[in-house]
Amino acid sequence: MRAYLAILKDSYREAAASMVLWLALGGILLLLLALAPLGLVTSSNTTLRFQELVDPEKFVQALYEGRSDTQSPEGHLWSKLNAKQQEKFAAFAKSDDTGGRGGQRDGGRFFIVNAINGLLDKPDFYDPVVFERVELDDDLRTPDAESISKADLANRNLRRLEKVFSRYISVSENSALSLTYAGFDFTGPLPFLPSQIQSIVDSWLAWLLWLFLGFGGILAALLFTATLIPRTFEPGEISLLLSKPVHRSFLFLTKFLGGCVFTLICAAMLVTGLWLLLGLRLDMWRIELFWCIPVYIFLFAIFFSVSAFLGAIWRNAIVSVILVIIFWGGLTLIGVAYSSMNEFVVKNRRLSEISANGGLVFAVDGSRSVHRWDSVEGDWMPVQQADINVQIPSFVRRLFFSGHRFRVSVSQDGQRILALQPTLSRMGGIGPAMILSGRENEKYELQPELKTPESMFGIFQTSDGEVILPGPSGIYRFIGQTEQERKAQTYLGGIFGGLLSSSSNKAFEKLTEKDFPAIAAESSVAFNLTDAGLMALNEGELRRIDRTADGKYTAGNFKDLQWKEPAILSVGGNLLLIARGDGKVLAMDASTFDQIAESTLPAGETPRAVECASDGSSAAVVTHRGTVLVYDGTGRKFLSWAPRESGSASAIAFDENHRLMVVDYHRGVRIYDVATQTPVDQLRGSVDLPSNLFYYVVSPVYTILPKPGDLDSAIQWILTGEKSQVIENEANQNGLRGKLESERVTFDVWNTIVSNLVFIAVMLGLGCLYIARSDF
Amino acid sequence: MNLNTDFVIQTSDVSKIYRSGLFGRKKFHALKGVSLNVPRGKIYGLLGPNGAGKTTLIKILLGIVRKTGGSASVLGMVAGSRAARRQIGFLPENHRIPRHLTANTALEYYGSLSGLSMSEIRKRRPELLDAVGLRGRENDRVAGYSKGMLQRLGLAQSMIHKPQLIVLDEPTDGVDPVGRREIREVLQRLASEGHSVFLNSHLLQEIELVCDSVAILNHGQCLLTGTVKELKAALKDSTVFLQVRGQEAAVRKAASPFVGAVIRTATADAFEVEVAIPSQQELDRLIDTLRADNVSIWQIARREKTLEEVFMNIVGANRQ
Repeated sequence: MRAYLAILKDSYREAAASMVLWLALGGILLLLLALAPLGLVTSSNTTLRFQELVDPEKFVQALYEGRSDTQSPEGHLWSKLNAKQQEKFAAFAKSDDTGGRGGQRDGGRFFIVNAINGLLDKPDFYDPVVFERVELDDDLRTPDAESISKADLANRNLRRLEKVFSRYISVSENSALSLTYAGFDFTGPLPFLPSQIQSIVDSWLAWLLWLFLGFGGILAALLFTATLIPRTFEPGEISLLLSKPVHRSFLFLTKFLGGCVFTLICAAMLVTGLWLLLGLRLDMWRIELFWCIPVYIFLFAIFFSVSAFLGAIWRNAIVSVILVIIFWGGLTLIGVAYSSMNEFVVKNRRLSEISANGGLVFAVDGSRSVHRWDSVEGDWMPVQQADINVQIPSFVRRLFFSGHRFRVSVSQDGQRILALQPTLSRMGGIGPAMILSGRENEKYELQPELKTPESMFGIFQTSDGEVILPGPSGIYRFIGQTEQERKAQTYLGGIFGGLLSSSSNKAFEKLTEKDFPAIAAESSVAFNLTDAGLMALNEGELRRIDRTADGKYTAGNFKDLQWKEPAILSVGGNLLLIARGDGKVLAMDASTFDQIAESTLPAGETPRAVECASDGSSAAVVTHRGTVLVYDGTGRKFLSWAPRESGSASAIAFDENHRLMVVDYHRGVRIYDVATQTPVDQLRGSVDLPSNLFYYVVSPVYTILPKPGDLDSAIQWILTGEKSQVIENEANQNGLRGKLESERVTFDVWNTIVSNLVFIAVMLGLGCLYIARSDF
Repeated sequence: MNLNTDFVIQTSDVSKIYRSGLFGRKKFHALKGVSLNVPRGKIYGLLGPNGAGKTTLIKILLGIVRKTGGSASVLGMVAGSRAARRQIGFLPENHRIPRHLTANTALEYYGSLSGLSMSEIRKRRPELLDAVGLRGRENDRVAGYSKGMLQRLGLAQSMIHKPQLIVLDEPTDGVDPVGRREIREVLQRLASEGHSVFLNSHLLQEIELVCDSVAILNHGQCLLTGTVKELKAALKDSTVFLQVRGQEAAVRKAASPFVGAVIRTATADAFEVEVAIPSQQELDRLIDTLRADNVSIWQIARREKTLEEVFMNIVGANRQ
């Protein structure tokens, strides 16, 4: 042991004697010194932030409609806009929601926010007469002092603006952060909330660490250590070393470990420096940051193991550096090929939703295309579908609308299918959904019907064929259009791609009274086919929405479950199944809300969907990582049995015979009888060539090779503690439920670590074998 | 092979084939059945021209190169085993001590590799530095050392753990005459202290000066082994040198039966005669003839061969 410690100590001495190390440390010190004067200053908020304008369409509409009355706040504000701004606002107000390109939508919201921010520090923004009818706090009602600073004036006006337009503007935090350098504020108020600072700093940190350690540091360390092994194996040195009572393999391994000393010193200095800066400058003492040191040493070890192996064979530093860089490039190429194919080809073709009724099975793939199972062909047949989101490429649609599940509701007689297609609003975000319907006599071709009055939780069909749409402000029945209207709609849709569809109040009957309590937009809402009742859950508050004899809906039982976790639920018969974001799954009595059984998903897994058989005989949960947990309603317990596809299940559902359907990654569906826990039927969908290429060529190559890029996920895991991360986009900002149902980028940290460890072990093993069998 | 504790090194029919080229199809026989017995407590020299297999043999003894056939033991242990290496000090030819080390840290490094504790190293270091003449330069980086200093430091590291056997591959290479003498003295002291030294050098004079026994290796074969005296005796020189005084004609007459005899005139009646006489009878006859012609014999001497001449004779004959 003493001998190997001596080799390690020598590596330290060598590193300490190296000019490269001191240059690297000097560079890190300079970087830290350059970052040290950075600071954040909290001041009162003086600007409207992009995300605080929650309903830009209605805000613009309100201004436009009130423009003629200059004694109203709307008209007053309109008059302060310049001609160009007025012209653009008018154009926004007149245009249809679904029009425009993505850039215009974002640009629209930015334009409005910038225009309003330009007015906030103007002394004539506030007019006591105009704001007379607005409920202002006393201090805001007082006219502004002449000596008031621009920042204070803007803050006061922002608060007045929020009071006037509280329905469209939500200023969540009344303070703002500014980035300062050596005390100088050089950014002004930053466009994010002070409460978001931690996540923003985390993402900056991850980037900074990747740049200076993950890329620059490792490249520098590889260049420095490239000579280490070849030099050790030079005849004059290796003869001397091997004449000592040391084991050849251990000598190689110790030299390898010694090579990591360089990275350790650099990583330790950078991370410690950043930790101190964060703590001292931002008061964010993130002790977990120190985990980055072993992670980056591990990352370095992957490449250094290749360098060491090649160095032992060729005994030439230049050759080993060149080959390691080629290897690095190759890995990056394979990683990019794998993730691109996975994201844009495989996941788009993978079935993500399934529903069955009336003897028919429909599935939706990742690109949100609907397929029908053709039992004659024995394969999935695409269902023609009018595309109302043509401006978004199909391969991006999965990510863009990931917060909104796109499920097909099949009528009991199998004559009609319905789906809710989210639409883009002109000012960004998701607008009311479009109802798509398909009929048997039209080969289920999905046509746009009408736009829903508001953003809906889902679309459900009762056993009588009624279409129920629960929304935040009430429950609606979709009466639909006459056949003539529908044909005209279809015709126009054919010409204009469905863009002219609009909501018609006649087509929707509200089934709730005015005093019906609003359902929070973040709620998870489930439909019970047995009694056509609904169940809503938000932050642990569970509410039944009962259907009365006259077909109306009223608020029923309520229970506060005493937790705030995000959760999703499903109901069938008298069974209610709730899956929480923390992995806890609860089976409850749907009438009394009494808990029947409880189980837990595998550690770190997040539920994606919950399904109950319509009679409550069984239920199941599928996670984002494809694990399926099954509940047996008859035995009133969670089963230790899991379907064969568990671990790679992409969707679950129960058919009309209360059998569990589990979809695998290869477009296959296996149907199980939960009572006997046996498969009873199977639908084998065909897999296309690109997917096969991915599964049988790219994926195996990717699996056996190390995945250094995936170690970034480890940093993510260290900083956030989550094994999967929701894909953030403007379309899935629908609260806690959306956070669970949205597609997630899952990362298996341990799998990455194990696969990289195996690779390092193989490389070092080969190196040891070569050295043990060589003559020197 | 019977292990005999009187020998520090025993090899029996050791062979080594180096393979090169695609799939190792090219073969080179570096050693072809070398058998050696190196006695304990002696300085043993290994002689041979470049490419004879000397370094290969040393590396086999240290386990740096794996033998293809035969058997070898060092200090009664399997040659190359870690236990054997623990008792061996080695100075390789053209050794390279990492340039960032000083003499002190180098001795600490190699001492630790040999299993010594820091306190043992600290105790041994000063006397070794004294012995090799590096005292005063022990904190200088070896990057600034001359070839001779590096060689002496190499020698010091080979001795730091007090090994029973010291194997030196060209230890005086690049060392100036004063340094060589110092190294010779160190080796002789080691031998007097009971250490065994196995010395590989192409400097025959060095070997002759310090070695008790030698082995001559050529083309991977051991041509001859024995003490230096035995080797010289084995290849006796037949040249006899005489200083005589008398008539030149009588001297020439006496030398005439011997082909190649050389007669040099020193003064008018004094001569030096150099003549090859294969046997004692013929020498007696030459003396009788000279005395019969009244020639006085002042001096008569048989000339000794140098080790170099012995080496050249053997190697030359082997080449032919």
